[in-house]
Amino acid sequence: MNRKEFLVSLTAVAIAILLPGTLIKRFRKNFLIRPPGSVEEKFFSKLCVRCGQCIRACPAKCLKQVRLERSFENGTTPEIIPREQGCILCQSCGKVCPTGAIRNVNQETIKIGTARIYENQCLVWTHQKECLVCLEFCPVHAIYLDGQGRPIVNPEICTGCGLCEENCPVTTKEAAIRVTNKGEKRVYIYNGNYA
Amino acid sequence: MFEKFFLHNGLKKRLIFRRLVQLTSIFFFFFLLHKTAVFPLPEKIPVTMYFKINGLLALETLINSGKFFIFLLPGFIMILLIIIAGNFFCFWLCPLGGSIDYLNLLVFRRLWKVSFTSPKILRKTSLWILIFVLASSLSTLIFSFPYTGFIFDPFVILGQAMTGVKLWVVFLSIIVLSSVLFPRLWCNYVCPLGRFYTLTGNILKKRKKGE
Repeated sequence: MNRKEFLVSLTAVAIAILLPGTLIKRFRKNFLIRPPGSVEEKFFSKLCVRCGQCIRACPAKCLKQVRLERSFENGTTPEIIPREQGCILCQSCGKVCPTGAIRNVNQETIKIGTARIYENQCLVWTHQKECLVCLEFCPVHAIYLDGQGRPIVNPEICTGCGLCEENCPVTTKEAAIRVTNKGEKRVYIYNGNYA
Repeated sequence: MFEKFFLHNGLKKRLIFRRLVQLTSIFFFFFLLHKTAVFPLPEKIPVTMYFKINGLLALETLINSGKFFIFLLPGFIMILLIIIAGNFFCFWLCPLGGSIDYLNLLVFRRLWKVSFTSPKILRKTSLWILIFVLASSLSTLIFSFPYTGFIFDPFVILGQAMTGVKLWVVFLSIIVLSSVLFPRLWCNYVCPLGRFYTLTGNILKKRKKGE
Protein backbone atom coordinates (compact mmCIF):
# COMPACT_ATOMS: atom_id res chain seq x y z
CA MET A 1 0.00 0.00 0.00
CA ASN A 2 1.51 3.32 -1.02
CA ARG A 3 1.02 6.63 0.70
CA LYS A 4 -1.90 7.76 -1.48
CA GLU A 5 -3.85 4.54 -0.91
CA PHE A 6 -3.16 4.76 2.80
CA LEU A 7 -4.52 8.31 3.00
CA VAL A 8 -7.62 7.41 0.95
CA SER A 9 -8.37 4.40 3.13
CA LEU A 10 -7.82 6.48 6.27
CA THR A 11 -10.31 9.09 5.00
CA ALA A 12 -12.82 6.35 4.14
CA VAL A 13 -12.56 4.86 7.64
CA ALA A 14 -12.96 8.32 9.19
CA ILE A 15 -16.12 8.98 7.13
CA ALA A 16 -17.47 5.53 7.96
CA ILE A 17 -17.05 6.24 11.64
CA LEU A 18 -18.27 9.84 11.62
CA LEU A 19 -21.27 9.63 9.29
CA PRO A 20 -23.51 7.10 11.10
CA GLY A 21 -23.14 8.95 14.39
CA THR A 22 -24.12 12.23 12.74
CA LEU A 23 -27.11 10.65 10.99
CA ILE A 24 -28.33 8.85 14.12
CA LYS A 25 -28.17 12.13 16.03
CA ARG A 26 -30.22 13.91 13.37
CA PHE A 27 -33.11 11.47 13.64
CA ARG A 28 -33.05 10.70 17.35
CA LYS A 29 -35.60 12.65 19.34
CA ASN A 30 -34.44 14.44 22.45
CA PHE A 31 -36.17 13.13 25.58
CA LEU A 32 -34.34 15.03 28.32
CA ILE A 33 -36.15 17.52 30.52
CA ARG A 34 -33.87 20.54 30.70
CA PRO A 35 -33.83 23.23 33.41
CA PRO A 36 -36.14 26.22 32.96
CA GLY A 37 -34.70 28.89 30.66
CA SER A 38 -32.50 26.47 28.70
CA VAL A 39 -31.53 27.47 25.18
CA GLU A 40 -32.66 25.37 22.24
CA GLU A 41 -31.24 21.84 22.29
CA LYS A 42 -28.89 22.17 19.31
CA PHE A 43 -27.10 24.98 21.17
CA PHE A 44 -27.53 23.64 24.68
CA SER A 45 -25.06 20.76 24.38
CA LYS A 46 -22.62 23.13 22.67
CA LEU A 47 -22.88 26.00 25.13
CA CYS A 48 -22.95 23.86 28.27
CA VAL A 49 -19.37 23.40 29.49
CA ARG A 50 -20.41 20.84 32.14
CA CYS A 51 -19.13 23.00 35.00
CA GLY A 52 -21.87 21.64 37.28
CA GLN A 53 -22.65 25.04 38.81
CA CYS A 54 -26.37 24.78 38.03
CA ILE A 55 -26.52 21.42 39.82
CA ARG A 56 -24.71 22.95 42.76
CA ALA A 57 -26.96 26.01 42.85
CA CYS A 58 -30.25 24.08 42.64
CA PRO A 59 -31.90 24.45 46.09
CA ALA A 60 -34.39 21.65 45.41
CA LYS A 61 -31.60 19.31 44.21
CA CYS A 62 -33.73 18.42 41.20
CA LEU A 63 -30.95 18.87 38.65
CA LYS A 64 -28.98 15.74 37.91
CA GLN A 65 -26.14 14.99 35.55
CA VAL A 66 -27.23 13.05 32.48
CA ARG A 67 -25.73 9.59 32.76
CA LEU A 68 -23.73 8.43 29.77
CA GLU A 69 -25.92 5.35 29.30
CA ARG A 70 -29.00 7.57 29.08
CA SER A 71 -27.58 9.89 26.44
CA PHE A 72 -23.93 9.69 25.45
CA GLU A 73 -23.80 12.97 23.55
CA ASN A 74 -25.43 14.86 26.43
CA GLY A 75 -23.44 13.14 29.16
CA THR A 76 -22.88 15.21 32.35
CA THR A 77 -25.19 18.03 31.19
CA PRO A 78 -28.03 18.93 33.60
CA GLU A 79 -31.46 17.33 33.39
CA ILE A 80 -34.51 17.03 35.61
CA ILE A 81 -35.78 13.60 36.59
CA PRO A 82 -39.21 14.47 38.02
CA ARG A 83 -39.77 11.10 39.71
CA GLU A 84 -36.70 11.74 41.87
CA GLN A 85 -37.26 15.45 42.49
CA GLY A 86 -39.49 18.07 40.94
CA CYS A 87 -38.38 21.56 39.96
CA ILE A 88 -39.49 24.58 42.01
CA LEU A 89 -38.86 26.93 39.06
CA CYS A 90 -36.65 29.27 41.12
CA GLN A 91 -34.25 29.80 38.17
CA SER A 92 -31.12 29.69 40.34
CA CYS A 93 -29.55 27.58 37.59
CA GLY A 94 -30.04 30.41 35.10
CA LYS A 95 -28.35 32.89 37.41
CA VAL A 96 -25.14 30.87 37.75
CA CYS A 97 -24.67 29.49 34.23
CA PRO A 98 -21.35 31.02 33.05
CA THR A 99 -21.87 30.44 29.32
CA GLY A 100 -25.53 31.33 28.95
CA ALA A 101 -26.77 27.81 28.20
CA ILE A 102 -29.44 28.43 30.83
CA ARG A 103 -30.97 31.91 30.92
CA ASN A 104 -33.27 33.77 33.25
CA VAL A 105 -36.68 34.07 31.67
CA ASN A 106 -40.00 35.56 32.66
CA GLN A 107 -41.50 33.34 35.36
CA GLU A 108 -44.86 33.28 33.59
CA THR A 109 -43.42 31.95 30.34
CA ILE A 110 -41.63 28.94 31.88
CA LYS A 111 -42.61 25.59 30.43
CA ILE A 112 -40.16 22.69 30.66
CA GLY A 113 -42.59 19.95 29.70
CA THR A 114 -46.09 18.65 30.14
CA ALA A 115 -47.58 16.15 32.58
CA ARG A 116 -49.76 13.29 31.39
CA ILE A 117 -51.92 10.97 33.49
CA TYR A 118 -51.70 7.24 32.75
CA GLU A 119 -55.23 6.20 33.62
CA ASN A 120 -54.44 2.49 33.88
CA GLN A 121 -52.06 3.20 36.81
CA CYS A 122 -53.89 6.07 38.51
CA LEU A 123 -55.57 5.13 41.79
CA VAL A 124 -58.57 7.37 41.11
CA TRP A 125 -59.09 6.29 37.51
CA THR A 126 -58.69 2.53 38.02
CA HIS A 127 -59.57 1.86 41.68
CA GLN A 128 -61.86 4.83 42.35
CA LYS A 129 -59.82 5.70 45.45
CA GLU A 130 -59.65 9.13 46.96
CA CYS A 131 -56.19 10.27 45.90
CA LEU A 132 -55.67 13.79 44.70
CA VAL A 133 -51.99 14.23 45.60
CA CYS A 134 -51.09 15.54 42.14
CA LEU A 135 -53.85 18.12 42.34
CA GLU A 136 -52.64 19.31 45.74
CA PHE A 137 -49.00 19.59 44.75
CA CYS A 138 -49.52 21.38 41.43
CA PRO A 139 -48.25 24.95 41.99
CA VAL A 140 -50.06 26.38 38.95
CA HIS A 141 -53.38 24.54 39.36
CA ALA A 142 -53.03 22.83 36.00
CA ILE A 143 -54.82 19.71 37.29
CA TYR A 144 -58.58 19.80 37.67
CA LEU A 145 -61.31 17.22 38.31
CA ASP A 146 -63.81 15.96 35.81
CA GLY A 147 -67.46 15.31 36.65
CA GLN A 148 -66.63 12.01 38.35
CA GLY A 149 -63.82 13.43 40.51
CA ARG A 150 -60.98 12.10 38.37
CA PRO A 151 -57.84 14.25 37.80
CA ILE A 152 -57.18 15.73 34.34
CA VAL A 153 -54.18 17.79 33.25
CA ASN A 154 -54.62 21.06 31.40
CA PRO A 155 -51.54 20.99 29.11
CA GLU A 156 -51.76 24.70 28.42
CA ILE A 157 -51.30 25.69 32.05
CA CYS A 158 -48.94 22.84 33.07
CA THR A 159 -45.30 24.00 33.40
CA GLY A 160 -43.86 20.49 33.59
CA CYS A 161 -42.24 21.12 36.98
CA GLY A 162 -42.78 17.48 37.93
CA LEU A 163 -43.90 18.00 41.53
CA CYS A 164 -46.97 15.87 40.75
CA GLU A 165 -44.81 13.02 39.44
CA GLU A 166 -42.43 13.24 42.39
CA ASN A 167 -45.25 12.97 44.91
CA CYS A 168 -47.43 10.46 43.08
CA PRO A 169 -48.14 7.73 45.69
CA VAL A 170 -48.20 4.87 43.17
CA THR A 171 -45.49 2.54 44.40
CA THR A 172 -44.23 1.40 41.01
CA LYS A 173 -41.04 2.83 39.57
CA GLU A 174 -43.03 4.85 37.05
CA ALA A 175 -45.63 7.24 38.46
CA ALA A 176 -49.24 7.37 37.30
CA ILE A 177 -48.62 10.94 36.22
CA ARG A 178 -45.50 11.46 34.16
CA VAL A 179 -43.80 14.52 32.75
CA THR A 180 -42.17 14.59 29.33
CA ASN A 181 -40.50 17.48 27.56
CA LYS A 182 -43.41 17.70 25.12
CA GLY A 183 -44.48 21.29 24.57
CA GLU A 184 -41.40 22.74 26.30
CA LYS A 185 -40.49 26.37 25.65
CA ARG A 186 -36.82 27.07 24.97
CA VAL A 187 -34.82 30.24 24.54
CA TYR A 188 -34.00 30.59 20.86
CA ILE A 189 -30.79 32.01 19.50
CA TYR A 190 -30.51 34.15 16.39
CA ASN A 191 -27.01 35.25 15.35
CA GLY A 192 -25.68 35.22 18.88
CA ASN A 193 -28.69 37.03 20.36
CA TYR A 194 -31.34 35.51 22.58
CA ALA A 195 -34.94 35.65 21.48
CA MET B 1 8.14 35.30 61.67
CA PHE B 2 6.23 34.29 58.57
CA GLU B 3 8.71 36.17 56.37
CA LYS B 4 11.69 34.81 58.26
CA PHE B 5 10.48 31.28 57.77
CA PHE B 6 10.30 31.72 54.02
CA LEU B 7 13.60 33.64 53.74
CA HIS B 8 15.28 30.98 55.82
CA ASN B 9 14.26 28.50 53.18
CA GLY B 10 15.91 30.54 50.47
CA LEU B 11 12.79 32.08 48.99
CA LYS B 12 12.47 35.70 47.89
CA LYS B 13 9.94 38.34 48.93
CA ARG B 14 8.29 38.07 45.53
CA LEU B 15 7.55 34.47 46.27
CA ILE B 16 5.96 35.38 49.59
CA PHE B 17 3.80 37.96 47.83
CA ARG B 18 2.87 35.33 45.22
CA ARG B 19 1.93 32.85 47.90
CA LEU B 20 -0.32 35.45 49.54
CA VAL B 21 -2.03 36.25 46.24
CA GLN B 22 -2.46 32.51 45.61
CA LEU B 23 -3.94 32.00 49.05
CA THR B 24 -6.39 34.87 48.49
CA SER B 25 -7.35 33.43 45.12
CA ILE B 26 -7.92 29.94 46.57
CA PHE B 27 -10.06 31.32 49.38
CA PHE B 28 -12.01 33.51 46.97
CA PHE B 29 -12.62 30.56 44.61
CA PHE B 30 -13.95 28.31 47.37
CA PHE B 31 -15.91 31.20 48.88
CA LEU B 32 -17.64 31.70 45.52
CA LEU B 33 -18.24 27.96 45.21
CA HIS B 34 -19.80 28.00 48.67
CA LYS B 35 -21.96 31.00 47.75
CA THR B 36 -23.21 29.18 44.63
CA ALA B 37 -24.92 26.64 46.86
CA VAL B 38 -26.65 29.27 48.98
CA PHE B 39 -30.30 30.05 48.33
CA PRO B 40 -31.32 32.72 47.46
CA LEU B 41 -28.23 33.47 45.40
CA PRO B 42 -26.40 36.67 46.37
CA GLU B 43 -27.14 39.28 43.70
CA LYS B 44 -23.99 41.37 44.08
CA ILE B 45 -21.37 38.61 44.15
CA PRO B 46 -20.27 37.19 40.77
CA VAL B 47 -20.49 33.56 41.90
CA THR B 48 -19.25 32.02 38.65
CA MET B 49 -16.53 34.60 38.02
CA TYR B 50 -13.74 32.03 37.73
CA PHE B 51 -15.61 30.12 35.04
CA LYS B 52 -16.34 33.32 33.13
CA ILE B 53 -12.71 34.48 33.07
CA ASN B 54 -11.57 31.10 31.77
CA GLY B 55 -10.19 32.02 28.34
CA LEU B 56 -10.00 28.48 27.01
CA LEU B 57 -13.61 27.70 27.97
CA ALA B 58 -14.68 30.93 26.26
CA LEU B 59 -12.75 30.00 23.12
CA GLU B 60 -14.15 26.45 23.15
CA THR B 61 -17.71 27.75 23.53
CA LEU B 62 -17.14 30.18 20.66
CA ILE B 63 -15.89 27.34 18.42
CA ASN B 64 -18.59 24.91 19.62
CA SER B 65 -21.49 27.20 18.87
CA GLY B 66 -19.97 29.22 16.03
CA LYS B 67 -21.48 32.33 17.60
CA PHE B 68 -20.22 35.07 19.90
CA PHE B 69 -22.16 35.67 23.09
CA ILE B 70 -21.75 38.53 25.53
CA PHE B 71 -21.17 35.89 28.26
CA LEU B 72 -17.84 35.03 26.64
CA LEU B 73 -16.46 38.57 26.83
CA PRO B 74 -14.69 38.21 30.25
CA GLY B 75 -12.86 35.14 28.94
CA PHE B 76 -11.58 37.01 25.90
CA ILE B 77 -10.58 40.02 28.02
CA MET B 78 -8.53 37.56 30.10
CA ILE B 79 -6.83 36.24 26.96
CA LEU B 80 -6.05 39.84 25.93
CA LEU B 81 -4.57 40.59 29.36
CA ILE B 82 -2.41 37.49 29.15
CA ILE B 83 -1.18 38.45 25.66
CA ILE B 84 -0.18 41.85 27.07
CA ALA B 85 1.21 40.85 30.47
CA GLY B 86 2.30 37.25 29.89
CA ASN B 87 0.99 34.18 31.68
CA PHE B 88 0.31 35.54 35.16
CA PHE B 89 -2.63 33.24 35.74
CA CYS B 90 -1.00 29.85 36.45
CA PHE B 91 1.40 30.89 39.20
CA TRP B 92 -0.64 33.70 40.72
CA LEU B 93 -4.36 33.10 40.36
CA CYS B 94 -5.08 29.46 39.49
CA PRO B 95 -6.86 27.86 42.46
CA LEU B 96 -5.87 24.33 41.46
CA GLY B 97 -2.20 25.19 40.96
CA GLY B 98 -2.26 27.21 44.17
CA SER B 99 -3.80 24.37 46.13
CA ILE B 100 -1.14 21.99 44.79
CA ASP B 101 1.62 24.46 45.77
CA TYR B 102 0.22 24.85 49.26
CA LEU B 103 -0.14 21.11 49.68
CA ASN B 104 3.52 20.78 48.68
CA LEU B 105 4.37 23.29 51.40
CA LEU B 106 2.23 21.49 53.96
CA VAL B 107 3.89 18.12 53.38
CA PHE B 108 7.37 19.78 53.24
CA ARG B 109 7.92 18.50 49.71
CA ARG B 110 11.19 20.48 49.41
CA LEU B 111 12.73 18.45 52.22
CA TRP B 112 12.01 15.11 50.56
CA LYS B 113 15.03 15.56 48.24
CA VAL B 114 13.38 13.43 45.58
CA SER B 115 13.97 14.97 42.18
CA PHE B 116 11.77 14.30 39.20
CA THR B 117 13.18 14.53 35.71
CA SER B 118 10.44 14.32 33.15
CA PRO B 119 10.78 11.99 30.18
CA LYS B 120 10.92 13.75 26.81
CA ILE B 121 7.60 12.27 25.67
CA LEU B 122 5.79 13.93 28.57
CA ARG B 123 6.98 17.43 27.70
CA LYS B 124 4.52 17.93 24.85
CA THR B 125 1.57 16.09 26.43
CA SER B 126 -0.26 19.27 27.41
CA LEU B 127 0.11 20.59 23.86
CA TRP B 128 -1.46 17.41 22.50
CA ILE B 129 -4.25 17.69 25.05
CA LEU B 130 -4.82 21.33 24.04
CA ILE B 131 -4.99 20.23 20.38
CA PHE B 132 -7.45 17.48 21.37
CA VAL B 133 -9.61 20.00 23.25
CA LEU B 134 -9.74 22.41 20.31
CA ALA B 135 -10.28 19.56 17.82
CA SER B 136 -13.15 18.33 19.99
CA SER B 137 -14.74 21.77 19.78
CA LEU B 138 -14.27 21.87 16.01
CA SER B 139 -15.84 18.42 15.60
CA THR B 140 -18.77 19.60 17.74
CA LEU B 141 -19.24 22.56 15.43
CA ILE B 142 -18.86 20.67 12.14
CA PHE B 143 -20.24 17.19 12.89
CA SER B 144 -22.34 17.99 16.00
CA PHE B 145 -20.19 15.51 17.86
CA PRO B 146 -20.39 15.24 21.67
CA TYR B 147 -18.24 17.93 23.23
CA THR B 148 -15.50 16.30 25.30
CA GLY B 149 -12.98 19.12 25.72
CA PHE B 150 -14.28 20.03 29.19
CA ILE B 151 -12.76 16.89 30.75
CA PHE B 152 -9.34 18.48 31.17
CA ASP B 153 -10.42 21.93 32.31
CA PRO B 154 -9.15 22.64 35.86
CA PHE B 155 -12.19 24.71 36.86
CA VAL B 156 -14.62 22.10 35.58
CA ILE B 157 -12.72 19.42 37.53
CA LEU B 158 -12.72 21.53 40.70
CA GLY B 159 -16.35 22.60 40.32
CA GLN B 160 -17.62 19.10 39.56
CA ALA B 161 -15.58 17.55 42.38
CA MET B 162 -17.00 20.10 44.83
CA THR B 163 -20.50 19.17 43.64
CA GLY B 164 -19.70 15.71 44.99
CA VAL B 165 -19.70 13.62 41.81
CA LYS B 166 -17.59 10.60 42.75
CA LEU B 167 -15.79 10.20 39.42
CA TRP B 168 -14.63 13.81 39.47
CA VAL B 169 -13.59 13.58 43.12
CA VAL B 170 -11.39 10.60 42.22
CA PHE B 171 -9.99 12.50 39.22
CA LEU B 172 -9.18 15.55 41.37
CA SER B 173 -7.57 13.37 44.05
CA ILE B 174 -5.35 11.70 41.44
CA ILE B 175 -4.32 15.12 40.08
CA VAL B 176 -3.52 16.56 43.50
CA LEU B 177 -1.71 13.50 44.85
CA SER B 178 0.34 12.94 41.69
CA SER B 179 1.28 16.62 41.71
CA VAL B 180 2.58 16.29 45.25
CA LEU B 181 4.72 13.29 44.33
CA PHE B 182 5.95 14.94 41.12
CA PRO B 183 5.81 18.74 41.66
CA ARG B 184 3.16 20.43 39.48
CA LEU B 185 2.86 17.36 37.26
CA TRP B 186 -0.66 18.40 36.25
CA CYS B 187 0.26 22.02 35.51
CA ASN B 188 3.39 21.25 33.51
CA TYR B 189 2.36 18.19 31.57
CA VAL B 190 -1.42 17.91 31.39
CA CYS B 191 -3.33 21.18 31.95
CA PRO B 192 -4.53 22.50 28.56
CA LEU B 193 -5.52 25.84 30.09
CA GLY B 194 -1.99 26.39 31.36
CA ARG B 195 -0.49 25.50 27.98
CA PHE B 196 -2.98 27.79 26.22
CA TYR B 197 -2.12 30.71 28.49
CA THR B 198 1.60 30.02 28.10
CA LEU B 199 1.28 30.02 24.32
CA THR B 200 -0.79 33.20 24.23
CA GLY B 201 1.43 34.83 26.85
CA ASN B 202 4.50 34.19 24.72
CA ILE B 203 3.10 35.86 21.58
CA LEU B 204 4.36 39.35 22.44
CA LYS B 205 7.52 38.06 24.10
CA LYS B 206 8.61 36.25 20.95
CA ARG B 207 7.89 39.30 18.84
CA LYS B 208 10.11 41.40 21.12
CA LYS B 209 12.87 38.82 20.91
CA GLY B 210 12.61 38.79 17.13
CA GLU B 211 13.01 42.56 16.97
